Amino acid sequence: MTGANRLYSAFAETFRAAIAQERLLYPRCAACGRSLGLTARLCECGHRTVEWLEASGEARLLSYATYQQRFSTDFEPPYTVVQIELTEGPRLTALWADDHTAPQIGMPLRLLFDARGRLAARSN
Amino acid sequence: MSALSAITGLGLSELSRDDIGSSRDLAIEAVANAVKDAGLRIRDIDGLILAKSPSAPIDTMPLHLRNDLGMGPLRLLSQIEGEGTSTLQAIQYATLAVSRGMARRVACVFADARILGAGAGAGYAKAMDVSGISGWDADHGLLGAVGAYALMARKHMAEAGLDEQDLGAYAIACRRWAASNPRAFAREELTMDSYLAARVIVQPLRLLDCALPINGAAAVIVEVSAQAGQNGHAPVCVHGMGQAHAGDDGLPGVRPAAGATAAAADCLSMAGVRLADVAQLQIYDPFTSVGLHLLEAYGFCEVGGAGALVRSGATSPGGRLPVNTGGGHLSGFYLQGMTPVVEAVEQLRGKAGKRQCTRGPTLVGGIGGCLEYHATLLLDGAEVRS
Repeated sequence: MTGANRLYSAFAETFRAAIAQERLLYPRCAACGRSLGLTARLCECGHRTVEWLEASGEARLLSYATYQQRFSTDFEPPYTVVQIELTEGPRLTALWADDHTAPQIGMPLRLLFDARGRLAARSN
Repeated sequence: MSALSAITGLGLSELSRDDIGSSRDLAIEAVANAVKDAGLRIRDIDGLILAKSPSAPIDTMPLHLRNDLGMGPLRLLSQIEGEGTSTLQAIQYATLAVSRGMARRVACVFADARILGAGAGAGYAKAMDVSGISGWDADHGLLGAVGAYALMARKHMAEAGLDEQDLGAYAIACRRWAASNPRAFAREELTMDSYLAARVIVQPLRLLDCALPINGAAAVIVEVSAQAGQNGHAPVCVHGMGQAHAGDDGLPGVRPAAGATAAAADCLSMAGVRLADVAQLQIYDPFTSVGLHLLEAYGFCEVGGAGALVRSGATSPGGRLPVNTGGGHLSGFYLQGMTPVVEAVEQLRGKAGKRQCTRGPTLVGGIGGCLEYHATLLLDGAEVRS
């Protein structure tokens, strides 16, 4: 069990450590080359060796939700949370950071990091 | 084909928007009432399955609840964790146990007491991890179940061609049922104008798209099917059960309601009931968008057809497919997966008063997570009416 736990946290830690340096990585199975989602810790081919690759920063908008009520002092409404699909495959949550364009499902996106180091998206 | 089990007792605690005690206290009250309703004494019960609110700590419903209740030796005791499907799962495992003689009379209880004084909203602000990296979604402002469900609702509405008036139509249909349910917490008339005027929480979801939280508990007693109808109540039996957990691979192709389709199909198949023969549908609808989504995923209409189905009046009082006849979670009361069970039992007993519908195969549907987890029951009398 300790091995499984260590693997589990190593997965998230690798991703997070890169984010802290404002680099977006995505996981791929080292054995079969399949793109893995960020929810996966084991490839369906049975291997669990993950290689992390640099994402292009291009994505597509899957959905969006605009907060009109305050849930936390860290987020001042109105603000919009988006669900995105990286060009490389994985799905991820990010903040909408485009004052000029309204989010639209399916639109191409460019990812960036905001002033607080959070992943943000704007129309591309 | 004989039934799988019988639901012989139903008990509720006091239900309130005020602080009326802990989940544990409320659970005691509900179990005691269910045992009495079944014509039994607490020492007759030899199994206990506990289901807590997904957001509550694990010790909210401890196994020591059996001591609180003064129960005798038990042959079955556990807490179920299936998120929102816990209550239906509890009834399913109780059914399996009694059908093989592992236990004879099993109490299944759900309790929630999240509305407790100042800061009560905190429980509803807890983030759901939908990205797969723990804490990531909270870091990016996706706070509360309502946010995660708003993302799903927006995507589904775009794909299915549903709009905010479809959500409103669902809320109104539920409110019309609630008007004749004395237990319902929101019974005043709801119009489309007042629905649209409700404050937006997370677009596209308004306050009136969200479940109506209460403090309370509900319990049922599950016995072998031969006990159905032996205690003065009309028989209520389990004829089919299903679970489906479609999973999430973290890629965009996941269909959040895929499990719903499978869970309903398996349950109906076990019961030998065709979808067209379902007389009533009682579902876990924490948000209007989920109600519409399930109508489509279970197969009661095509994808995109749920709005038209609800607007046609089919799901409303007098309609051909009564849905959440007690007002459900939006206008009735939010006891998560136990709300539809309470209503199904009262309907099948013929005790639903002014909202009583034709009794027949009743599909009870439960959901959990971000529509990742699904559980279903097919309830009817001693025999399936078709």
